Amino acid sequence: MISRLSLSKKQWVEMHTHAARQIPLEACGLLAGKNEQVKKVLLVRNQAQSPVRYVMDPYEQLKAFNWIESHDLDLLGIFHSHPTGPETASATDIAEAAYEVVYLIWSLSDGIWKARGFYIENGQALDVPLVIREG
Amino acid sequence: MNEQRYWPDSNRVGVLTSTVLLAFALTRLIQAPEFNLEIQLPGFFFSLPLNLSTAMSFLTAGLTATGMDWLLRGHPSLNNQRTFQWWLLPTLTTFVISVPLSFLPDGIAWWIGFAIGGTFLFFVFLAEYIVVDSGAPYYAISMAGLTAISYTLFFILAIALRLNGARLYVLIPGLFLATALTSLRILHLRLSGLWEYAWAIGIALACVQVAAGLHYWPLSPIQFGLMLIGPLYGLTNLAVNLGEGLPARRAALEPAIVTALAWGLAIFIQ
Repeated sequence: MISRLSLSKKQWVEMHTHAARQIPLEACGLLAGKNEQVKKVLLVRNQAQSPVRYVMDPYEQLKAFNWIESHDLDLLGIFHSHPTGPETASATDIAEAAYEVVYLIWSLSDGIWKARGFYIENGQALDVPLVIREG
Repeated sequence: MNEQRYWPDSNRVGVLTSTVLLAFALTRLIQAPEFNLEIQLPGFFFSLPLNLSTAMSFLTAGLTATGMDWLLRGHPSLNNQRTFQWWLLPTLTTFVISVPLSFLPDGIAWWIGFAIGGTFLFFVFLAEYIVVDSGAPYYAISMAGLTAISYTLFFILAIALRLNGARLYVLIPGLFLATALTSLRILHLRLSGLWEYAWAIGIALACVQVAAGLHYWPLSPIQFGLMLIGPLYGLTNLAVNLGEGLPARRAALEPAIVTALAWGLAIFIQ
């Protein structure tokens, strides 16, 4: 289990911008890196084109996985947004969590975006601290 | 009938087994520096961890091949034949055993793996020696044992590679080689000494296609192993059945059922 996830400010802004641009739809993507440290944010199109659900475009997802593999990195996290809340993992997120990685959820509340990390195991979403580093 | 002639020299088989086991044990005891072989290719980063375990895996496999050849030279029915076919599986066995042994943690788990591996290896040496002569009293049971061991080895290798998080560029060539050699040996055993290279390569290509397709799926190592052992068993048995002259539909029935069972088990197992 990943005990924390470290991201750079640039990566944080990249995800935030992507989530904001996709409004009213949910945005999604993958986080690649090594040893709990994210090295790359890979944006993936939400095939569901829905404000309450995301399904990664399979072709873009495969391309992203291949990129991670060819750069000798690991899949550390999967992010998506909840433009209409909640800020925690939904029942669908928990039911469909297949990978043992951090699920990072961006949520919009009163015009402010917030992000939280979760490790989903045995039907429970456990908080994972997100560390923002300079650079 | 002198049954003794069908059994290997106990001294030779003992020396061979203990030498290979000693090599496994020394690999664990000796501390050596580790480095990554890293090559940046256009759009592709190749990284292969090289350490004493990697080197010893190849060395012990080589040791087994030469040792098996030495053991077979004492067989009265060998008659100056080439020994390649009989050291193929022992070499693969040694290599496959070394993979989980290299990353199992120190302690009881490693020693259990070591003991099982040693027993496995001993029986492979014994069975390969017996099948040199098709008139040997234990020929049929040895052939069945070698077939079962070949599938088990492949299953262990698939699980070990998945557990170790092997990259696709390591996984695919490794599995291709293992699948091709496993099916080649089984087909050779079951089809009275025929070398079915085309079938072996075809089966290996089909299996690595499945492995590549499943690589990014969130499967457990056992699920991954089951998904691969199904087509390996199915296609190899299909080749055997067709080689024995069965009609296509009948030849495909049992392999299809076993493949479906393996896949079904992989889907339901967690």
